[in-house]
Amino acid sequence: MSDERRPGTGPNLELRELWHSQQLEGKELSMEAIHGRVSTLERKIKIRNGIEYAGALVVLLSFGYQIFEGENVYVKVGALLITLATLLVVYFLRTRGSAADMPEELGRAASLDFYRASLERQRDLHQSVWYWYLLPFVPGVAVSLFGFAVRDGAILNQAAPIAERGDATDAASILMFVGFIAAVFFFVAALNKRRARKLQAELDALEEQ
Amino acid sequence: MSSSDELYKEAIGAFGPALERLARGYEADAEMRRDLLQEIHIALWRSFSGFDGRCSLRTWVYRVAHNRAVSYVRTSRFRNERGIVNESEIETPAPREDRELELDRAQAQERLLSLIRQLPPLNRQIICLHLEGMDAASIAEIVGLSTSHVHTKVHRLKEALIEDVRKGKSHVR
Repeated sequence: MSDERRPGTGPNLELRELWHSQQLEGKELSMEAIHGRVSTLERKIKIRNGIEYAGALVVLLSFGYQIFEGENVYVKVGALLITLATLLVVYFLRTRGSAADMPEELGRAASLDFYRASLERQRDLHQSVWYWYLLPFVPGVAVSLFGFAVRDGAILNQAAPIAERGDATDAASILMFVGFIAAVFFFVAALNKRRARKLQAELDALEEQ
Repeated sequence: MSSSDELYKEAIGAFGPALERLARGYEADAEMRRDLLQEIHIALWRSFSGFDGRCSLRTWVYRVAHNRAVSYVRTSRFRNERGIVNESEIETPAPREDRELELDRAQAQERLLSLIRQLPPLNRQIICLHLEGMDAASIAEIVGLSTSHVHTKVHRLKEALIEDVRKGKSHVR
């Protein structure tokens, strides 16, 4: 037995004594309760996954419709590109499950490795948001907008002049919409970059410990 | 009864109180602590489907519990408002006129727990395991540091805690 654990060796013993003499509730969960809560948790995970898939399905259906029914080839190609981008994002998210979905990893990994890996995974996800979340949509959105402009006669003059169409979109409106989309993209990217910086700071602090 | 059930029962029989103490080192609010403890129990039961015996049951249980607790603390919206600090930054309580009145044991415990909750996750884990009575080699296996590193950290953390608890409770030597 080391000095630290020998009775009557001072402050260390006192700290341990304080630690061990905490009043505990001592409530134990029955096996039935554990099984019930595990089922509830797994059901919640399934529901969460289902909601994600349902959201993707809505996007796929609406843009899938445009692939076949779009007013011109640009709208059709744009819808196809957005559909592919959605599939890519869903795949990206699904191949990066959280630790809560892989309970055995909690026991296999030493805490430092687990903590570091978890921080790195989240940092990389936020840091690379342009590549896996934003940029994939840029071609589809750009081509679709071009297609709408063509449809409304704002570009290429294929349709009736704007002044003759009550529901038409003029070039200025399209530019404003492009600006709005770009602002949303940059705002999302900035938020993610900020979060990535915070995670990196946590990682740096971890390495210094 | 499944093997997960058996392992879970064995783990709770041996480490149930330790897990509850661990939860107190991570969460001050009683209600949220119960939630955290429940999450640890559930994570533990679910983890046993992957338990392959490459490490001891004790190491596995503490890894699952601490890893789950750290994730909980990181994602909790109700984090300790004072955040996390290094052991050198643990705050000393402001001098009080009634300092001569000794804090009772419960207050000393709360002070100790409050100090522990201010530590970064890794240090928190190391000191919790040390206070449970584990030696540096066992702690090293759980946290993934070298034994000598753990030994150094335990020494530094302990000094900081003793110093600070002593300032709040005169009978701690």
